Amino acid sequence: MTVTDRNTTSSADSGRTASSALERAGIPLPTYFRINHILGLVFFIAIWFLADSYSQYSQVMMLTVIYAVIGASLIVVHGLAGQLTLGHTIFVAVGAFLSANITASWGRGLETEIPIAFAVALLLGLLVGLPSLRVGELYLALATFAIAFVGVQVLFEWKQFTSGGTGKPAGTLEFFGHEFNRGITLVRISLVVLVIVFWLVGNMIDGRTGRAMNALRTSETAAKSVGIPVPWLKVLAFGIGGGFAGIAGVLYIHSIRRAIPENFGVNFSIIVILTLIIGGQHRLAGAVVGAIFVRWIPELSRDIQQYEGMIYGGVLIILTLFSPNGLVGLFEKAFKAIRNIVKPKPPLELDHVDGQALASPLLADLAGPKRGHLVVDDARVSFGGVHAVDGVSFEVEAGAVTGLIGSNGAGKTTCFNAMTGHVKGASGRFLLDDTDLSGNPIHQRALSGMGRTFQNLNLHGDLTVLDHALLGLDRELGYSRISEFFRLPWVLKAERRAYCRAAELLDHMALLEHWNDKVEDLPYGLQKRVDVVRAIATNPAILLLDEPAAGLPTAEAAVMMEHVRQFAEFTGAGVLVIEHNVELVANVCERVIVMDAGKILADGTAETVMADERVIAAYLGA
Amino acid sequence: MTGLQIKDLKVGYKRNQVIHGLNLHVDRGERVALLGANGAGKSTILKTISGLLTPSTGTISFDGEDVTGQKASNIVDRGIIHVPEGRRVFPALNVEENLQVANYGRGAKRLEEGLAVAYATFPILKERRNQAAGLLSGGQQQMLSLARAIIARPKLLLIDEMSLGLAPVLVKEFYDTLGQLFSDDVTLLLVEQNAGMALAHCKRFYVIRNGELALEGNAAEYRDDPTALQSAYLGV
Amino acid sequence: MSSLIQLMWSGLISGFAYSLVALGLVLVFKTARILNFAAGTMAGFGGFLAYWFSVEKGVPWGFAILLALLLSGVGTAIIERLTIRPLIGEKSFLPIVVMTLGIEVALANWSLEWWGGTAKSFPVPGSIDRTNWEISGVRFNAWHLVIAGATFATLAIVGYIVNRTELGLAMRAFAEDKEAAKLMGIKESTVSQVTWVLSALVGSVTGILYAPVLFLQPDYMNVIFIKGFVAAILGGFTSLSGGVFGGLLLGELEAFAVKYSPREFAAALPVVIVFIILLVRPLGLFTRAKSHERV
Repeated sequence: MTVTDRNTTSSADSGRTASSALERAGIPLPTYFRINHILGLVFFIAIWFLADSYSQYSQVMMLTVIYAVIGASLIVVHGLAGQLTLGHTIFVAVGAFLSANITASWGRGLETEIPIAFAVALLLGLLVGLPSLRVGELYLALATFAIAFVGVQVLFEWKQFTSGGTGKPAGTLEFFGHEFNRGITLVRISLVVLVIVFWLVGNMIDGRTGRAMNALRTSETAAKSVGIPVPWLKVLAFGIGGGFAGIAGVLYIHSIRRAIPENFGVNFSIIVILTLIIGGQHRLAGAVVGAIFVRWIPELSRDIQQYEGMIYGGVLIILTLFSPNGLVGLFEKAFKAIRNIVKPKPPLELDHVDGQALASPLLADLAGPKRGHLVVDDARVSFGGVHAVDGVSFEVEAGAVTGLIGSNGAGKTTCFNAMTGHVKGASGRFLLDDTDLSGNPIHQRALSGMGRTFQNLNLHGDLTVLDHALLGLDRELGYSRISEFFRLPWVLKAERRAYCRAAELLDHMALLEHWNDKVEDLPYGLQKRVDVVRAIATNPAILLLDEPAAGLPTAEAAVMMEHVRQFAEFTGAGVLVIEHNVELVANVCERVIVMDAGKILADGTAETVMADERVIAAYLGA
Repeated sequence: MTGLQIKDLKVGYKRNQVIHGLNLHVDRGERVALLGANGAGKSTILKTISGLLTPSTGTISFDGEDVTGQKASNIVDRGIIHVPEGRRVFPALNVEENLQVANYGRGAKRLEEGLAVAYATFPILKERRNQAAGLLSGGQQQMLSLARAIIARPKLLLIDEMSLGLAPVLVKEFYDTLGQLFSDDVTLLLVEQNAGMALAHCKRFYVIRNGELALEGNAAEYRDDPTALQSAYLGV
Repeated sequence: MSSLIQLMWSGLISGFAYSLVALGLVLVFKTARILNFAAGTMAGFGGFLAYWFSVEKGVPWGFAILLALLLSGVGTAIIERLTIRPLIGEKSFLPIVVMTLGIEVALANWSLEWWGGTAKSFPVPGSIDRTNWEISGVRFNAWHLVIAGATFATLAIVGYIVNRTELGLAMRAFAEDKEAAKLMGIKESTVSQVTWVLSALVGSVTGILYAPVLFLQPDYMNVIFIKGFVAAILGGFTSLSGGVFGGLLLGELEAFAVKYSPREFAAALPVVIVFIILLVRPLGLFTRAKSHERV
């Protein structure tokens, strides 16, 4: 097996810039303006003028726009963070009644209504999001459903705030004292709000928070393992989504002029969900498409209006069965299909695998002193009477490459899980470079320097290979979430730097040409490499690899191990590898620990361990 | 043709083929071991036979009848019983209820007879008949699992990693009694990582590596020195 | 003292409704891991069907109820076969949740079309819903006693089916370990269908029992349905008896809250309970499963 260096001149050629991998792959750098902005601008201009020409449709137009805003807010919670919420319209309700009360009691206008509605709805959203920390997806749907339903009851009883059944009238529409007529002006005001909200949310989607939320939606486990504070992000998603929904509520009550709590009940919630299901829940454009569909179809005929509910129900049922990603998703699939016909992509092959030097100036700071001194002291994990890990203690030197082998059920992965925090109820002490990690949550241990890969990969299905590398770089990005919303200059700079680094890392793992492919479309061998590159990107002090070569043909497996060995050598980080293939481990690891039935059976160099009778017996049975 | 016949079996999802074209057979009444390292695909093969997984191509037939791609419940009706890896008893149901489930759809008389045999073979199960199965020890759960298989009166019995997580002494006991538990015309396909045990009790074996057949042969030749299989296991 | 008993009795009567709804929800959840958001509307449909048969078609009262139950069962079997069954095996919960929502909306609007928006009263033979007896200062409505009796009967029947029949055993095994159950020859389609039909029947019984109490108006079962959810949460959503007791507890808490606290709080009580339970003690499959999640 030979490891050939690709013809790279990145280190030798002085003319090359630091972004060589990025350029070679043709990866576009992050920018302020993106194509969506142009689409948005076109939409804005179109509606701005259409509002005038078709003023008799003002009501429908403004409701469409408002529904799109609500859709966008729901995308944050659901399309992005993946939290199933069925009571989102309670935030719209809160915003609406706050607006009415503010205009009535304080005589203020939109300049006060909108910020207050946003703030209150955001706080309420954070509160509603709290149960997401404790319960799973389905239960959460139930809880949010119940909360919203009962919330409407509470609003109904709170006569002072909502006037109960008689309904609260909207105040006059004014902004800093200027009074406006409804109609065209309200359409335009809503349009402005839409554009602003979409801009803010769009910036978040393109930034680290959006990536992190996508990650937690697709694999919470893996997201935590790269240091993403999953619990906090979940609650934050609810808060942000709630806040924007509150703003929509302000506009909503101005448009319908009078609101009763029942307006915001189950039916409204379902319509809003329908908007996203029809339009597409993973793209902001879906909110617009869905809103148009939901608000305009009933306009087409009286008959449809009568049977509105049944049609909605029927559409929900049919779409669920046939097209989970809505119209936008359908459109994207068609687009891809056409593009494949015009410019067919070569089928993804497990192609030539070359070794690649890590000697890019951009990754120079990965090199460091030897680290990854790991101490495991009396680790124990039991599952219902079975002692999966039964008093395991060992110590690994900084910068060492160590193998962990054993037969099926020996407890190797469970041992990893105890170290990284992925299993509850583990006892024992775990120290990394003299920091005590015992009992810390997963993402904190990751931030302390523990990187890992998984036996079942835990990749983020609909994210690209580049995204995975960027996820690993999350902690390096360092900008605050507030600056991310506004895409301030330092955000862009950090993003660009991250893109360059990510490209270099992909180059190291020979994944560069697949940077834009969704990982769910990749063959197994490449997926395994993506798992590794995500972990490497976190610049760990110790890299825990769980069967990185399993399922790979011999040649590929060898090269995988070679990538890993180079990484360890270059960065000085420690590596701990679980493997079944003893020979593979022998080539790479100076030291091999053998586990059997939850305990350590042997510990030494590869040769001594493989010659040990007890090891042979345990592996192959006597 | 009697017995189990697998021809050109491919199993996988999307681009990930886990089994790449497998051929194997087990004659009526024969005992065959399916060996190989973890992740080689042995469990996948059993799950495909029992209907938990559907193959992409290939055929599986038993006693001349094609059972490829059928639903698990249909396959059970044909007498193909799969004892899955990790015992998988129903933890909240008690011991007797676990045994009853194995008799699903076969009537009260069969149940009575089955329970009698099961309790006679494993008296400790009778002692604990009202205890929740989740509270049994690993070895007792394995007994329960085998007792369920007895009740199901299999024609073809698939056992996945019977030795997993059990003390060697217990494992030896189970293997020794395997002969008594099932008569000679029950066909047996055993998945095992512990080659020595399996070879001692089977007539033939197959070694699976990376979803393909790496080696097949007669158990007798390797009984004394299983380490010779090492290369087949590990691909060295 | 007698007013206390009166209060507790009325709490019990609402509690029975919540218990029955919780029973139906937990049944479906345990075996199929689905939350049936259409349960309230389906229960209400049962009430409307009974009304339709007895008032508009002149069928004798007892038969009307039987027919209503029969139609509910058959209708649910058909709905299950067409809309839920294809989704079995989906990895994400969203499609199924959305599906039941879709069913809810479609059914709700259909019943609105069919029966109109005005509230109707549900006539009971002998007008026993207007008959009251007084025993040492406590007033007992005759129909409430029927509710109590019917609830016990329903619970007993469901309990029998789940715990003492082979079908119930199959359902319980399936709820524990789907794959292992399949290997015993248990059909997923059978379990799914039986669970849904049983759950729908319980719902319809509830809808019929409470129709005289609440009047047949659109969505009349929705409030009960939500509270049934809360009751199921109280019981941890994994145990049938837990849901039943949860319902009774909720009924009592509510009765006292309505009497002794401001209206807003009484209305908010279910949410408060949900919050407290979820944050403090979220029993339920999700939390247990997570601690044993293998990565």
